[in-house]
Amino acid sequence: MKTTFTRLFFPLVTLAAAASVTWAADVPALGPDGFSLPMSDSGVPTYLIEMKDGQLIPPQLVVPAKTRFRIVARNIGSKPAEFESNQLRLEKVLFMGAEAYMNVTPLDAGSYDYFDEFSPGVDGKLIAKPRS
Amino acid sequence: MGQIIFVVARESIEALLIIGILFAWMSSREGAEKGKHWIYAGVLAGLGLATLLALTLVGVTHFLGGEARSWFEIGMLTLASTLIVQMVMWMRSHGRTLKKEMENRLDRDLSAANWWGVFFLVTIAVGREGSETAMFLYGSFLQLATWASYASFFGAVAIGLAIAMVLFYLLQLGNRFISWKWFFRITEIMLLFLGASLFLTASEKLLNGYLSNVDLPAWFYSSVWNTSHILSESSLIGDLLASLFAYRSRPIGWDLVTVAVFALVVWRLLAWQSTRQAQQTRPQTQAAANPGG
Repeated sequence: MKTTFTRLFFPLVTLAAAASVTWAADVPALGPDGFSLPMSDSGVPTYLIEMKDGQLIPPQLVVPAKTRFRIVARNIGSKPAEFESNQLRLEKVLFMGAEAYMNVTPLDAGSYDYFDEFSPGVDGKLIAKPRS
Repeated sequence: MGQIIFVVARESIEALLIIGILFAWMSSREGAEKGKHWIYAGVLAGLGLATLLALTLVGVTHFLGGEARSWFEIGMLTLASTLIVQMVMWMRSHGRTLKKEMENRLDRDLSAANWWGVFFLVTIAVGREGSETAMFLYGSFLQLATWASYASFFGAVAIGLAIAMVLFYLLQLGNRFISWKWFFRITEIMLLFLGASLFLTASEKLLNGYLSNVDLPAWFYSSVWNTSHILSESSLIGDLLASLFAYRSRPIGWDLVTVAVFALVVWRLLAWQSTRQAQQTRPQTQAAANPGG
């Protein structure tokens, strides 16, 4: 009871610590142009974000600004997840094993966050930067 | 366990805000007691809807395909936001009692129509967020193995619901201790913001879904301001403000247009309602004073 209590009141601390560990473990692969590698690029670049029990993989995506793209959120964890980003205007509930395609409108350069609403505390970061 | 408490409490708040305000309204109105039955019925229907929608999320049934589901969500959100505005107008038009109106057959029919409005609003409010909770709980339930884990699961659900119910009781208390005028002024604003928020979510789904192949002018997609460093929606408070008050830390042109359209329509409707009421009371008093003519 005591440990769950602590986890309830300090989710930020514990989860942020966990996130910084995973951050170091898998630094997202960037292509030679400095952008994240899309999983497919047939017309609209499509980026994969996997969700595993509160963990966001990758924790950071670099995408071109002012360009439409798509995000595929896939839940590979053992619990349901909700991919959410108010800043990107996306929200999708995912059962275990489920995945969803979402369109993102052209973004201004800057950084945006995304998270799992069912496991709050860990933020993923999406960086939109102009193509040089 | 903490996660279950959080999700249950978080996902119930929106529905309990709507139910709490309607319930408080009906408690303080003579002749409106009957409306509570419509709320209960709406909650039950909402739980049914939530279960049905949760089944499609889990993948047991596929009665709604991906595209149909999206339209269904947009439809539900728009309908809920319309019903909220209608409910506010209805509350505005009735003062301390419904009893007098009930004696008039025409008004009785009007009230019956409003009870259906109450019913559908509650059904959607419970069903929409409830489906996500139901799916989440079902998924977590599948992971349970030991007696202790079952106990902690149901304990957590109960605590989560209890936390959300605090809002419901605060609304009932507020109704009792604050004068109706002030209670309504505050809750009316909360309801209208919630309506705006639901409408905004619907329009964003439209923009990312069906309008994703349409090229709108660039300013529609550009951020107008950015307050994410002050309050981001990924924080608990930011998240609640986003769903209850349509807060956006980086609104784009499209968001502002949507909210402006909503605000304009509501403002015109409320203005039209008050002038119409003023006109209606005048001829009636004249007719009463002069029954023969």
